[in-house]
Amino acid sequence: MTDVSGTASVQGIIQGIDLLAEYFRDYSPDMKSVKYDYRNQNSEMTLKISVPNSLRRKINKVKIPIEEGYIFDEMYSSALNPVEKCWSRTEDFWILDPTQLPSSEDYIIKLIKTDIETDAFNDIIDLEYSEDSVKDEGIEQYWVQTSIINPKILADIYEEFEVRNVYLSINVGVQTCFTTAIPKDVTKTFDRTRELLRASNKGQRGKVTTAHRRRHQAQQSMKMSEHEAAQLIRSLATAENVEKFISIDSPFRCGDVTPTSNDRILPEEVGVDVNTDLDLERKAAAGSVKFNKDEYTEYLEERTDDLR
Amino acid sequence: MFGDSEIDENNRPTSGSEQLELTEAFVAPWGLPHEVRPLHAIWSGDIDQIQFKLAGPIELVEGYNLARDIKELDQHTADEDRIVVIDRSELVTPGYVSLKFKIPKKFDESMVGQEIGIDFLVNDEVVESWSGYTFTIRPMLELLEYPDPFVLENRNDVLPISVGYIGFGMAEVQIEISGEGQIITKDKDVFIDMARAILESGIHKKESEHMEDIPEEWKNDSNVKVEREVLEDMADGMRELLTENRDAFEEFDEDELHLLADIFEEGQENREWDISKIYDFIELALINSILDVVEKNPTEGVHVANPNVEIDVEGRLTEAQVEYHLRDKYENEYDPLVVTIPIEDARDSGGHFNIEIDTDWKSHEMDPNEVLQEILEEI
Repeated sequence: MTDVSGTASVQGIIQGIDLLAEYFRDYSPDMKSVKYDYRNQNSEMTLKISVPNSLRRKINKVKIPIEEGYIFDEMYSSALNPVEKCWSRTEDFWILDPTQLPSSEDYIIKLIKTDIETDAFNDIIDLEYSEDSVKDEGIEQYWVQTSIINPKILADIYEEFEVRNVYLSINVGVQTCFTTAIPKDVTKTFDRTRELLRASNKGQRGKVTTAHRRRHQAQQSMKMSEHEAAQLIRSLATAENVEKFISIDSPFRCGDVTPTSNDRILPEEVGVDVNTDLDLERKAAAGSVKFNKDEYTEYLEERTDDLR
Repeated sequence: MFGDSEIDENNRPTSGSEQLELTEAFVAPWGLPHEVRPLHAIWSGDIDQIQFKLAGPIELVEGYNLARDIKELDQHTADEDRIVVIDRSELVTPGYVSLKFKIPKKFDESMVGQEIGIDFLVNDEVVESWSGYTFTIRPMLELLEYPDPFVLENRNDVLPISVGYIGFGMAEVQIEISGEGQIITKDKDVFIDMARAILESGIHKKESEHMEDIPEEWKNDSNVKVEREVLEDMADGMRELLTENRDAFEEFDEDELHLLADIFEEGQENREWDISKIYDFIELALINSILDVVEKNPTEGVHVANPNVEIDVEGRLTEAQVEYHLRDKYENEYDPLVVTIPIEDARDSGGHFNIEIDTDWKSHEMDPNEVLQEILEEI
């Protein structure tokens, strides 16, 4: 499945870099590294600047508009001493005042950029995963793959480039586990209750009486009310209960597991978040998500057996 | 087959070179017809050329880290395979290539394997080779049992048909029935059910003569209660459907739609009806939904869009035809399973009758390793 349609263009990123470099134009900016966080939609950029102890140091200031989304994080001298006093923040700008700098010439600055639009990542990373699963020895499997679209442009800009938490979500179907596991006499009781509600809502008094009797008979096989049964069934599909049956191959990691019920009491699918990191050394990664369906169904069978 | 060790075993380099080290090669192990699948290789060391050997039905879609469009690369055929040639100069950065391909063909078998080979060349000599398989999967249905003939004895008979699921991937099934007379297919969408129940009840009328409360006696007795939060979520879902998917409500006229909109309007303090009654109906719909999940997903690998199919007939019927339309998750459509059932009307008198189609779904789980073994033996 093509989750994100990548293009070979990284114009958005280049523009962002050019813009940042422009603010430091008087101090020979050199972009050293960028670490994107795909999931959290932010980036950490490290650049080197040279501030000679000349008149230029005394007359220029660097002003980065707050609205550009950059946040000053750290600054070091070439001797790796922290240099932070020279930065200040006003309502509208991050301001670097070079007159406050110590006598060193080269400095490393780390800036964080937040709220990066997803489209920017679409130009960098391609994500693929299988539309459908294959079940092997009771385990349902989905393959996942991710790759860097255009490593050349990135390598030209940065010495070091990393995208952390390359993230996608796979929907794992759990509905048949419930179909198989819920005892037939339990669904029969629900069926009779539906019959009764229908008859009642339509004001069909004769049918209400019949439906009431049939439901009462069906209920004999259940230990608890439908309300309690529905609660129990739903509790079996919580993330905590489902994630025990999910495993993911390295280099991928498992993130959040989110049951999606689509307004239904029983969940039909469980969203499994999958993360990995890519960089200019590891330009692609592949693996698989495994859902131990048979064991989960057995677990449901054991637990729903308490219903009757 | 599709686990780590198996992938490694199938895909390990078949020859070695000291200069070149193949770090990783991957091909999507399976896919549905037309689904885009990835393929990549990462290596270190110098090469002059890479050749991809692709089995016949494989079509390349896109390539990353290439100086030219994938369709402009040199290609030729050899022994029914297509050879795609990428020279070193066509790799934008060394040591990496990522391709995407698809197989736009529907096969008759549940799983068909296609081989992909990669040769790394230096001075026109192959110094490293790798090969892997990508399998095209599909769901399949088989008719197991049906009554021949079906003897109609009552006005409300159930026609049992036993259908087996084989193959791989989810089978999306739509059941259609045809025959002489008026055929009605009923789809149990929970919101439409709810809308219908609400409109039929007359709940929107201030002093409706049709309005009946759910009797207290059984309500207390049954303890049927769904949390308020869930009910409110359902009302939200109804609102969303009403605003975003009007087509779903095509059975209702403008007046009815306006009424539904008014009923589900938020923040109406002075409404003429009790909102808790609306929630009673949502509660009904929720109980329906439990049953829907069970009915729509009858067995492993099968999802039925319309599980409760009925045929309403005026008069007599001599033959019924039930069609199980089959699609996969990528919306590929396959030939339907058609069941023609002769009908003997043994009732004393003719007239209107109703037959419910009761499909008994059986899943025959296939072992992908066995299928793979068969395929490899054939190859």
